[in-house]
Amino acid sequence: MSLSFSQNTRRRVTYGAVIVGVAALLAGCSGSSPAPADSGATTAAGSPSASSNSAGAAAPAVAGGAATIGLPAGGIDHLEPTLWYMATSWEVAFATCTPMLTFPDEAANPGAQVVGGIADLPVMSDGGKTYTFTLRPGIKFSNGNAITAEDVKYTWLRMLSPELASPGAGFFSNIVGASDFNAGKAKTVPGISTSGNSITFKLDKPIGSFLYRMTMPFACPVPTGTPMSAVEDGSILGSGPYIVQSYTPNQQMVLVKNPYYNADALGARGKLDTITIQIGVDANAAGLQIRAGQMATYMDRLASADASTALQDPTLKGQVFVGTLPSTTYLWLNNSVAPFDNPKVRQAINYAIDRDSLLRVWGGPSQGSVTDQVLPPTMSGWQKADIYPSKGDVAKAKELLQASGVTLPITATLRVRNDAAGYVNLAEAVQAQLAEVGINVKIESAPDSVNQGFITVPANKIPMGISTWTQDYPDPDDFFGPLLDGNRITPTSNNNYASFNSSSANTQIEAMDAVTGPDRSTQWNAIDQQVMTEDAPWAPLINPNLVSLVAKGTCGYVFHPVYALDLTTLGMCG
Amino acid sequence: MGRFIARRLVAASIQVLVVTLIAYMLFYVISAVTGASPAQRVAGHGATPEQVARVAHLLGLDTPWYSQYWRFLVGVVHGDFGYSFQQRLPVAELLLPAAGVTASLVVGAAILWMLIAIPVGLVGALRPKSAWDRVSAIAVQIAISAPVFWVAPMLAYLLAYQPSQGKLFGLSIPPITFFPIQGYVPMSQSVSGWAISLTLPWLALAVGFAAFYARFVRAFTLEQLGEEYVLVARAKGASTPRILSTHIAPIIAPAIITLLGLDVGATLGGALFVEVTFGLPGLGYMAFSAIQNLDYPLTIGVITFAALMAVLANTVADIAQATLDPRVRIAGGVGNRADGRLR
Repeated sequence: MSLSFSQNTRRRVTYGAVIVGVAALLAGCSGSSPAPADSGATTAAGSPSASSNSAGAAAPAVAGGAATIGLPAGGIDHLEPTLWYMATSWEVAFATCTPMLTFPDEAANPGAQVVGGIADLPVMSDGGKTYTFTLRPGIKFSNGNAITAEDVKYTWLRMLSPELASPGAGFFSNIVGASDFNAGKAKTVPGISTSGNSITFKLDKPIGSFLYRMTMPFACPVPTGTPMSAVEDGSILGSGPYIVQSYTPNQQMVLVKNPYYNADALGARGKLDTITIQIGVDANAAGLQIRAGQMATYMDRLASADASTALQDPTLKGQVFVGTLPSTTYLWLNNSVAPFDNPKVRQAINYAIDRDSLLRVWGGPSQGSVTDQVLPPTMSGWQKADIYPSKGDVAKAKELLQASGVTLPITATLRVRNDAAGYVNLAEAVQAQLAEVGINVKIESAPDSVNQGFITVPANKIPMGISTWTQDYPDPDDFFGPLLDGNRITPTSNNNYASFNSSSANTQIEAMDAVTGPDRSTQWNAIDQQVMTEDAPWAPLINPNLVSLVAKGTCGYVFHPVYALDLTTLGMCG
Repeated sequence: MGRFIARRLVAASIQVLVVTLIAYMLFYVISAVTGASPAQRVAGHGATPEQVARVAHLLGLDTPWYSQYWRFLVGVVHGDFGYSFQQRLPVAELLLPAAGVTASLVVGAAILWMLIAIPVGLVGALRPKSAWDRVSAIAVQIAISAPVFWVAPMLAYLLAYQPSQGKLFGLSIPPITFFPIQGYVPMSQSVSGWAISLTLPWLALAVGFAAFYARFVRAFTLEQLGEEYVLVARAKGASTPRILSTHIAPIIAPAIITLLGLDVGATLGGALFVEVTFGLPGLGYMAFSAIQNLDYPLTIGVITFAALMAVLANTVADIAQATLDPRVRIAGGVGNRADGRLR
């Protein structure tokens, strides 16, 4: 997503920690130590594993009631489905929209398995180039009108239209004719056709992650005739268990049950009768509000100081949850800039880094887990690789640097954002660690919007930087495609900051388009390990966590592996 | 008086124009130097360069900065601040509710700080070096020294959170919610809810200003109390309240009003810390996220609005001062000469 949870929250923590951190700290109590997060799982504070979630706020909720949930200012970028892109907006999307395909309301890996949405799982043909979906019977918009295949086609044309300029269009450019339509060169998309209650998508090549892409809320169904311009009041979101009753931008949104939601066809979803989303709640004060019972929970990251005190507070047992976000924070090394064009130097850096120490700088085990892989542990079928020692191996790093033939000391600039908590600290720790092996790092920091301007242009030849990538959908090609496929390097707007361009890796990554089924995750894991062992284009550092606090009396908390907070499962305790 | 007002309004318009021009140019300098692209931000990280270019066209970013600025000015004249890049809503639609929140905060706080400052300052001036004066001087010093980013969360913690947990300044009480820790209730929804949601923010914003104004009121009053005309008034048997209201207040009011105009105008631009701490969706918070998202129209809209408010408040203060003190309007902008002539 363009703005991940961490990105979304960081700007608040950056200044909010100064402002309200004192109150957050005052609210803390002494108690047990936080439990480390399981890989890809949600862990209740003070509990050794996800299984203890059966108690406390993770217990199933009963139907009915109302709750207020906090959201940081700017947490809703859009209610126009073709445009929403922030992680917190997609939490609302998961409650108000049923796309063609979706995910179950479950934590950990079961929650990341694609299931039918308004359509059943499709029939694939033509070697993975054609997908035919059949709409489920009896599904309706919130105005009572049936959702038809023509509505779905219209939804796609609207999303791909040049007028809306949807950030989702890029994920569907392989639908035959979609690019021309999006560029305004064609009046229709020949790759999308309907017949009765079925709709067919023809692709110009197989896309192994196509089903995952179909879960994205960009194509939330809208009725035929919806204006070809942004509708931001929430009135066109009519296919989920909730609808938007009222929305005042930057202030408040009220969700109520969708009277025409067909639970028989789409599954029973939604416990609370009314969800009031209070917008503008600062991360630092959210913890106090939840403790005071003024708010059920918070849709974003708590401030790290507040999260730490909550995790150590025995009176909050069963109310604090640590979930691994589908993100990787990494030190990228520009493979087109000497001496980082030398794989031995890149491997040496991976050995020189003490990831355990970096995690402490980041906020400790409650705030993330160390990684030496591209893919986060939330990815289905993910396997831990243990490629580089988490404490580092300076002797091995020096040995590799000597073998690389480069002249020491190396001097290089590292670019990092400074408007989010933890990043500059990470950069300074990396600077200190690399100095031990003869690499002198000069840190250049700037707000994310400015930093992105530098690092997304390969011609700037930025030697190294620290960034975080958060998935758009839970398939490895959302990491390897934009971040490491050399054939997708672009002169501007480039996401492959490392300018990694290995013909063998490119071939492997692109060949995965044709792979489906259980082999897919196995092969992606193999590519992940191979790339990080042999090429080491980056030094992956941390998979960040999200620490959530739930008020007493609120149950049904599910840390969803794709959307984080699942609004539909929240409710009152029985 | 008419010429005076006209002159002030012309000057105010030029000030606003200059502020917006500088803001616009700054954005384009930053973009040119760093490559920071609002179109990239809007298009999302999955967008190809072609898609980013199309978004830039859609947003009107592919035209020179001066033509964009001209378009903005023409829009403003028609009451149209353009469309937010990020939220794709008319800026005015976003700006007005936020301005209402900030105005509620600042005007309420200004009333509160004047209600505190005037009696504290007057009593201090009437009883200099008394116990009251010494205690209030210490309190004023503490209030001036306490930064709003400390006062605001402490108020939230002590008066909103702790009572909800059954504590009030260390005493055990039945758990009660006096004030929300964060959040804003629009006046249209509930007047009492609006006042309750703003009580702590008003207090947080007012504490520092009240201390400053108490000092001013005390110093100005003390100075006037030593003047001969006060002795004459006393000799004629005028009571202290009468001396204060009839003789001293008209003399010190213009200076206090000028200060108030400056402070209210500047604060209307966005009381960021208080808005953040109490979750008030005002202009300060809006400006902060707009700048982060390179949302030029919204940022320029906030800056323009803030400049308008500051200039308007100053102009109102000037006019009020001119009404209260004829020398100001007679001076025609050459205050010293007029002062000299009148003296």
